[in-house]
Amino acid sequence: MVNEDYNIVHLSERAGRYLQIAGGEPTQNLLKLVKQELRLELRSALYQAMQRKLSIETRGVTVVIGDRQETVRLQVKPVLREGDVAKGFILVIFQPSADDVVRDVPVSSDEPVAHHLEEELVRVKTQLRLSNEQHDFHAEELKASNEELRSAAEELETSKEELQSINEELRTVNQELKIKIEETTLGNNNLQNLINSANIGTIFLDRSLRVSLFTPAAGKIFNLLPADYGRPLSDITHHLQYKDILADTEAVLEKLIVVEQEVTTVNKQAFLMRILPYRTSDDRINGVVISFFDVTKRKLAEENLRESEERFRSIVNQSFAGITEMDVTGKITFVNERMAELTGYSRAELTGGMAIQDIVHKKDMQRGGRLFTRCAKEGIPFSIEKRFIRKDGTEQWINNHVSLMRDVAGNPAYLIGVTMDINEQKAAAEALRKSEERFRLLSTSGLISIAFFKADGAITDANDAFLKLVGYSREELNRGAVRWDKLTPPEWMTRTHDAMDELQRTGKIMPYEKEYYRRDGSKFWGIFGGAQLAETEVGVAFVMDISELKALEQQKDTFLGIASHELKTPATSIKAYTELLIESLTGTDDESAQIAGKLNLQVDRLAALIHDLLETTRISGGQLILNKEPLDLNAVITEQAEELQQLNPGRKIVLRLHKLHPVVADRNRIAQVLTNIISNAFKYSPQDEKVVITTEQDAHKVTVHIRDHGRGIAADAQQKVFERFYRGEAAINAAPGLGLGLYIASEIIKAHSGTMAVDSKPGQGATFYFTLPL
Amino acid sequence: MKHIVLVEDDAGIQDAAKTILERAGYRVTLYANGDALLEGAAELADLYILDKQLAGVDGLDICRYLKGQPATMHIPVIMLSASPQIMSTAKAAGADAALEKPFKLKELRELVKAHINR
Repeated sequence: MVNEDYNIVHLSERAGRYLQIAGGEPTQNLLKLVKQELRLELRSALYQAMQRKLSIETRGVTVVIGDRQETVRLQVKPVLREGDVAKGFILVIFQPSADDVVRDVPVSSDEPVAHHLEEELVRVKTQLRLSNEQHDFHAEELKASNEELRSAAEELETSKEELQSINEELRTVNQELKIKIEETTLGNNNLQNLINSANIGTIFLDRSLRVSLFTPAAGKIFNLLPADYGRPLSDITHHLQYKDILADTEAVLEKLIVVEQEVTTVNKQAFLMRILPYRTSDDRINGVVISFFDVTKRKLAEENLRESEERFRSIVNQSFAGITEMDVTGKITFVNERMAELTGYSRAELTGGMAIQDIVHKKDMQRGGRLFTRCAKEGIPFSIEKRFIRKDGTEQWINNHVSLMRDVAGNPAYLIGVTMDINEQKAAAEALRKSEERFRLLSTSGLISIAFFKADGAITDANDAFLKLVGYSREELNRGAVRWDKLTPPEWMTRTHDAMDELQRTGKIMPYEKEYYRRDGSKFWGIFGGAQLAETEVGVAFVMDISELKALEQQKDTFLGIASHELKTPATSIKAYTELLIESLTGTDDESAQIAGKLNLQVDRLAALIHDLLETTRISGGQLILNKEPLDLNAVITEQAEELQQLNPGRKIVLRLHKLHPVVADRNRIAQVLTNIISNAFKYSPQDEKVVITTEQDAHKVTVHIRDHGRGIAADAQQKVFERFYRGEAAINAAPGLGLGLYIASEIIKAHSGTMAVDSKPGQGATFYFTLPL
Repeated sequence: MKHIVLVEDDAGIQDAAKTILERAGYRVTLYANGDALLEGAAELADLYILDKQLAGVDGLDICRYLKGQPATMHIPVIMLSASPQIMSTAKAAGADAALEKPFKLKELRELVKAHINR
């Protein structure tokens, strides 16, 4: 079986006898494989079969196989049936037919040679006829080819024209290319400038990690020079504190991942480094790109921000104030520790869904709610004093300041509340209110007159009782018409100024008695005391009307005066008779003389007591009149000392007198002062202790000291010893007297513009001293 | 014998003083008030002793009167008083001396002696 090209497709086993494989390139072509003797016949048969499309049979073809001559019948059968899968293939059958050779060949001649020639001729004729036919066929084909060639020539012409037009297009494209190149150059320049201006360090590495491009910024990090192009990354030194750069770069190339991390240089520059594969536009990996963004400033800013936040957080957390962040509905989003303390809830509880309204006292809810809503809507901040209800149910007074925070767009974002504990203030305010109420009650009760005053004489405020006392109206008070300098009589002005000095010095005025003018010019006695109000120029004073008391005192003094005066008359007679009696009995050894002497002493004591009482009434009545004259004080002292020495023989008085200038004083009164003080010293010291009297002087005054060695006087009693009718506790039982001696002495010295005082320590005696001005 | 006029309304003092002065050798005339002196009815004295506090015209007024009369203005006056102030008030009224009650016998005699011989 062969195909249209006569190549063998299939071969039966016995067909091989008629084939002979020639030398050279092996072939499957049947016409080349078939034996020489059969080739011509077969070619002819095949040709005819193909051309005429029918089966051809050629008989009697002689072929020598081995040493035997064989006659073969050739059958060529093309497959012609339409639809047959084998259509186009040709079946060639070689059939040996020894007998046929003899039978089929017509015998035309007896002559064997002629016969053979004849046969040969027939066969050639046939072949010729076939050749002719073949030739005709070829001629036809040539004609067809010629036409094809002509048409091809025409096509060539067309192609030539097309080439010409393409050539023109190429020229245009070339022009465009030139423009593109210019644009690319421009783009390239722009890119270069962009790279420089962006200051982003970038290194391009090829697949073998050799430097193919870098930006100036990268050059600084990596010590790169233009000469380093093409050198491997591993050869390049850098300033980074980053050891794994090579390993990471290789990893990026291998795994096509992106490495991103912050790195710092040895000189504290910080960079955000990114290593990523270099991808071409057609998605091939051509190397690695390493880029560095300088984040030093950002790092610094971040650090500053972090510190600032840290600081802020610690301020917030350590704040004395509670701090709350709320949304516009009041829901709590943040609180500090102090706020948790103030409410008794934990921070987690407060921010876990609670709203500020949940902890506000019901009574304060409406008032606070209105302000809160207004703040949330209009941004008007507010402060409010209100109560929280703590987790344990107790009340917590607070002062809350709330303000609105807005977002970037200016919309209400959240509210900040700053909360102060005012429990103590509230308690203090309550205490103050109660205290004020008490004071007001005292002030309005009319029990006591109260006035507020200034040092300059003004009375700034007063209660009704005071106004009633001085006879002014409130309208006059408000007008400033009521002034303490106008209420004070001239004779009391000095004492009143002393009181103001005392206020300045000590912050208070110890109560004292003085007279006041009423509005109508009449006077009344008052007891007055005051105190400076802290940190103001204002003092508060009370005045009590003691006119009645004073009148009673006056009555008492008058009575004492009359009584003692009247007592003096019989005392004078008794004294005179006693002395007459003594005179009569002098020289006798009658016991009566001694008795008369004792009587005289008692009469003297009685007379002294009466004298003191009378003197006191005069002093308190302001009726002390001095009979002043120049005096040698030392002489008076000596005289009195001698007299007292005589009267008290067991006592010892020591005088240490220094030369003195004369003083102007009332001799009898000064003698009385000395007598009173020395008598007092005798009274309160043991019999065998001496009393020492010393005098001295300076430019302005003379000072007399009377020192005893008695029991001494306690500090708190040292002022009181000069008061009327004061007697030392021990003296009440032990020593006789009215308690007037030191009072009278002190008043006499005062009337001389001198001073009198005592220095003493209990158990160490006392030193009384007085001064008289020179 | 020197003559002393004593004006004193208290009988006890009158008596005691008279005794003291007579023992000292003086002649004493007593008055309970100043009427006789003011009327010029009294005998002139060598010294007057006047109690300050008298019913009616008091001793100081009598003293001023006596010191205002040519006949008596040279005669010494001693004032007697229960008041300790008498020293100064007596001088103001023109008296030559004063003595506070109760007085010592010796004081009275010395004072009288000092002034009566002047």
